[in-house]
Amino acid sequence: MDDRLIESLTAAVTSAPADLTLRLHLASLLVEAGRGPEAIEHVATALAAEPTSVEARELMARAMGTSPAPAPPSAPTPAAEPSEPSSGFDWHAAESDLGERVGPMFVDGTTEDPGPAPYDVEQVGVRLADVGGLTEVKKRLEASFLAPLRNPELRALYGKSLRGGLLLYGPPGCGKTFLAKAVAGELGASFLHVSLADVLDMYIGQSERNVKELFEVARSSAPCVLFLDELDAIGGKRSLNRSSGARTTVNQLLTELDGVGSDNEGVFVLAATNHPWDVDPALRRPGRLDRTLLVLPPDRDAREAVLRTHLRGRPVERIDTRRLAKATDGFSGADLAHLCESASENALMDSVGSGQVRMIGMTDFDAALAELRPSIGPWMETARNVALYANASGEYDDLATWLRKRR
Amino acid sequence: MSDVDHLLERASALLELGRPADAEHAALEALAADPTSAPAFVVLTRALDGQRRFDEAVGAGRSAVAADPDLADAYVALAWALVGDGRADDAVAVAGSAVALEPHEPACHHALGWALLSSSPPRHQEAHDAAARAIELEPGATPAYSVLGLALAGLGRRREGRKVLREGLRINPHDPYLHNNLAKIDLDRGLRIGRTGRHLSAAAGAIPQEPVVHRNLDTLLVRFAMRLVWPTLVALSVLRLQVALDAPWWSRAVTGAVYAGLAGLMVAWFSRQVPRGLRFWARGVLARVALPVRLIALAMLAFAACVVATAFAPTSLAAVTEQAAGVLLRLAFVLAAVLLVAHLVQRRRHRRG
Repeated sequence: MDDRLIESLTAAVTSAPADLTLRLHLASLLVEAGRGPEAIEHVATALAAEPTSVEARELMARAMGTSPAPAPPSAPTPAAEPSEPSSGFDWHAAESDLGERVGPMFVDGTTEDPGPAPYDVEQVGVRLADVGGLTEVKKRLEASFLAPLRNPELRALYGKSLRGGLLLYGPPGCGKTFLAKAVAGELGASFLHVSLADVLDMYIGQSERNVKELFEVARSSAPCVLFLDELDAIGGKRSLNRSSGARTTVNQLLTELDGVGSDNEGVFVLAATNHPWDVDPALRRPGRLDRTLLVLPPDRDAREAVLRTHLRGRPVERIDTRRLAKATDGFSGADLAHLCESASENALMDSVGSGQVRMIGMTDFDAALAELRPSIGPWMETARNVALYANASGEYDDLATWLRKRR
Repeated sequence: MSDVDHLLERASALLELGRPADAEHAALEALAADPTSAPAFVVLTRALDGQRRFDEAVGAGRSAVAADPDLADAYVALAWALVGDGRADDAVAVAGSAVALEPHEPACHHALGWALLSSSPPRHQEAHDAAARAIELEPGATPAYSVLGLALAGLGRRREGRKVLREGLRINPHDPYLHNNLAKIDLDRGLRIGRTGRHLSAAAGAIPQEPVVHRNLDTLLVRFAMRLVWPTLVALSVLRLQVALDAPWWSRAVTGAVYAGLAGLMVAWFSRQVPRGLRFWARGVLARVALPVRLIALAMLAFAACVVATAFAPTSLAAVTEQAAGVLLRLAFVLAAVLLVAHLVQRRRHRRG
């Protein structure tokens, strides 16, 4: 049996897990190749979705016959014996399943209900080397942010302060969040991501308290990278905010960034925005988010790298990534991911239609490319106006230079 | 708080953050949960208005009014959408309904004032009264100062108009519309290039997407270019004399160098008054201005080129370029005179209409 075909089909099933026909086809190939235990997993999934499928039942029988290995836990085997027939319920298993999620049985009124954890602090394993392309950005990130953090002696020698954070800006979908995660990975710090949805909920409720709480969580998890996504949502210009709620949120954010009444040691504040021009200028003053870094759409080499990353694990054949990279000028990283997804979808639909499983080819990419346009167009229009008319202090010089090159 | 209320809060917050596209999505979600919600239609109208999709905004505004005919906010949102869509006369009637429903709501008077100011011909006195009422109800509402200032300027009381706008700037020194409107009043008079440039810089810095500010900057640039005519005229007169007296070539070159230096200093001064990067944003200005202005500007450019050529060309050629400069100057004056007459005729027709 052709292992390559099985691998390709496995990849196809991974990208389209709901396609039962494809899954059963893969399972039958696995059975024929003598890989019964692997086939059982796929058949069990198919049976869970469609318990009456005759084909799946037959395949399960064949797979079980090929290999007497025990069925996986997900397999619907009604004949399985209960482990503790005497009590009828496995209390130990249930307790270990629930674990710490069960609250105390009684409270005395003085203990506050902590409620669910408001923010998830995660440990990230991503490093800067995992970021495709963006060579220049990584260099600048290293020079302006990481190197001073990593070299305390040099920092002391040159009297460099650790105060201040970094603002990443650029068009949407170009990897700002991923870069922030990579910074956390480089620093070996935990990562606290605050998104727009969290922020807007904060606005409606007790906004200042929530911002304070957010920094408290970051301080208690130090070393921690606190990543404020879409900063313009939290820290928009106060002159444009009509409601006092939004203004006080910015004030609280300023207080927390300054570390008034608390120590921000070990908390590295990173922020990202597509619209830095809408961010309150006070947030960008020295000691706050005083370093800015423009994250641009990937260049040709980076696009090729990004495409290869997205195609890894998919059943592809004779894909000319160099040509694709050339044809996708102006595409963001997210656009490239969407392109790969669309091409896969084209191949999948064709396979479903013809009943013949086939690899993803250049024709699928050409068809997808004909329908896709770079998504950063509206952003470019805004950015061009800002660079032309609102660059009084030269803070958008790098953006202006890039836009002029793209003319 | 119900889901719809929550979504509407969210949409309103997004609108305030200047994210009309996101606000539109939130408003649509609210409408999916309650298709008859008038406040959701109001937010949707404002979100579409913010994206300059005026036609759709008018449709959403009409739905808001249909959903709750007693909601003044719906009329206000529809009025703004109608003004954006160039239907200011309809907007006046709609804003009038809002005022009738909520006579003590400054936003209604403000919308009415702006609609009156935008109607054709502008109804300055009524706009003045509406804006004055809005300010009386809410003295801190700086957008109403813009309407009042422009209405006063339209009534010929420019000095008072400027005073009102400056008063608004004292309340909110960052209001970009007040800066733009102050600049507009100066532009209409053609005076104070430096002050106009500074106001327009402040406006462009805060609202770089606003096409009105771009247009005003273009106009200011043309005005400044016209100012350069005076040193050019002086240089031409001196050069004519030098050519007539058969003065040595270097004396003409000195005149040319002085002229070029003076013009350079004026340009350097101007570039400090306007948004940074003059050579970038000013690029293509001739293609953006109206055809008659473009013709005059081209004639003046050719005139200046002839003056420079007269200064540095050999004597035989200098006589020709000096003659050509004179012809081009006359041509520019004739064009300007025709343009002025056409403008006056149009204004008179406008007033009669």
